[in-house]
Amino acid sequence: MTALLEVRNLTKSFGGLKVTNHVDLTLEPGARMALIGPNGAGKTTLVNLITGALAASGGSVRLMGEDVSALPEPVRAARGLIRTFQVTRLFGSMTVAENLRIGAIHRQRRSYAILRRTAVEQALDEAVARVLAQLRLTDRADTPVARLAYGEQRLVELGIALVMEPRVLLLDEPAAGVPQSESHIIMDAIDDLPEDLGVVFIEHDMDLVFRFATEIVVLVSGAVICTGTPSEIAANEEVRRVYFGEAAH
Amino acid sequence: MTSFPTRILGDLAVPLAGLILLALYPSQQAFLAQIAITAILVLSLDLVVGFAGLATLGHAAMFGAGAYAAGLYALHVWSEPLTGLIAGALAGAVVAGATALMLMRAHGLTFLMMTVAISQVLYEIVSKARDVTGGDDGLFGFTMQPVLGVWEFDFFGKLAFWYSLAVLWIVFVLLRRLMVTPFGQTVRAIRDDAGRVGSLGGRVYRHRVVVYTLSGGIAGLAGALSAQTVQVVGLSSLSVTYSAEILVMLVLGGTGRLWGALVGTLVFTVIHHYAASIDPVRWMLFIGLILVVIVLFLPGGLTRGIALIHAWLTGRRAP
Repeated sequence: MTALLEVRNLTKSFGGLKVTNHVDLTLEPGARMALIGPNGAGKTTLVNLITGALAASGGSVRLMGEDVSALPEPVRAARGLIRTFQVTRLFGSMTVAENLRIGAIHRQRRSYAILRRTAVEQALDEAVARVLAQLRLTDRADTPVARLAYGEQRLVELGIALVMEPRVLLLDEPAAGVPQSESHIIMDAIDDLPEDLGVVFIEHDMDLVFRFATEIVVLVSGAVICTGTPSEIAANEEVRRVYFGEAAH
Repeated sequence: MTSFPTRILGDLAVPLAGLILLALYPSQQAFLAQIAITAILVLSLDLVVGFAGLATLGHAAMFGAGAYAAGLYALHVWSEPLTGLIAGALAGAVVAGATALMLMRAHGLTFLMMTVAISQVLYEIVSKARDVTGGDDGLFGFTMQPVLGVWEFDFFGKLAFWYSLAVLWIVFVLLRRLMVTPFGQTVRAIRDDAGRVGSLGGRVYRHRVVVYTLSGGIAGLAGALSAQTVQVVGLSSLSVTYSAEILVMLVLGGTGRLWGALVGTLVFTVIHHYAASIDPVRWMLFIGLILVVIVLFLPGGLTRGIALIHAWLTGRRAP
């Protein structure tokens, strides 16, 4: 079986500074890969390189066996490579349902539709309703996102990605800023994702990482220092020294 | 979603307002026609400024292009008005579409300056091409056939009023529909966060080019209407000053809501009408003061004020 996502030798330099240093990753269908590392390790940069938001200095990204390195971000997204943002980026003038609808419009390739056709509207409404229900946001559907609590905004952030029915989902700290009491809603939603989907998530909360990850990649100074199952990573001396040692203060 | 009766009422607002204004100013139909035409232009500006979120000072370029195209079409091709409208709309759309390919790669201040530059270039070309456009003297000497072969243009602007009102009505109703289509929603999403739309597979550049071209077509349509009803086209129709003036109207009424374009145009032109007759030199001072107050205290424009009052009266929170 071909890997969903294959990153080879991916490199990004700003001047002399290598923020991403020859990174290799392989994401199999069904994998839940946690990307961990200290602040400034280049985790978000790596996500930006994979999605095409940033142009890589070298290396390649293959999506379902196909080389997408030369394709711009929207084309990669249209092929099922979807990400969320660390700092919530919602459509601020719109309601919750409208925000999800923008995702649905793009998933169903209707962004040029200048007529309101009943069949099209129904398909969009269904896709939106499904994700609203999944994230338990149905009674918030008509609330402007600007009025939501931050935790709920994070859910909408995730919802926009989910409505895209991604093949590969890149989550940049999905639960950041969410109160502990609500973070389980987000993680449950991630847990409920279709089996064959590949998920990469950046996360600082080690409880969440060890609960959900099937695979952990440790990034330090732009380079992968270690990859393995949660138990392998927990036992790794080097990781304990550079990462957990630092996190333990 | 608004309820069915509210939607129908919204669609009927333009003809209703037209009739009320006609009752108030029965002898000033040419003036009312002017308001309707300007309202079409300001609506088209709202597509770019309010819905796509692109501040421009070059929108009159498309209005002027449409006006000159319709004038030349009537003079040299056929003086039938409806096909003249199409000619004007096409001219506006072509100017907008061609320049959008360049413009939409720019952002912020660069974009704004480029809209001014393009508008100035067009102004100079039209000004220098005296043989074709009449230069400073303007383009005149064309007469229009009756609309649909039935209604003759008259000296008092009676036909001009009904004709312009009908076009405004159609444009308003169509734009209201467009705003709730997937395309319209995508354009709004791009205004809110273009990068996010790109991350969902949306083609931001293409959507902007399309909406700018569409807006240019409507501005050209307004220009054509102006040419046909006034039967003179002047250089000022292309000027950056005029672009700024319609932007003031839009800000006055409120950007991003089609009602804002209508209310802003009406309030601006009526104030202009009265203030200019009281003091022809300093009337702009009055407009300026109102604008300062609106921008400082009511950034959403007059329609935002109306929405706030409505919300207060009904005890609900304003949207």
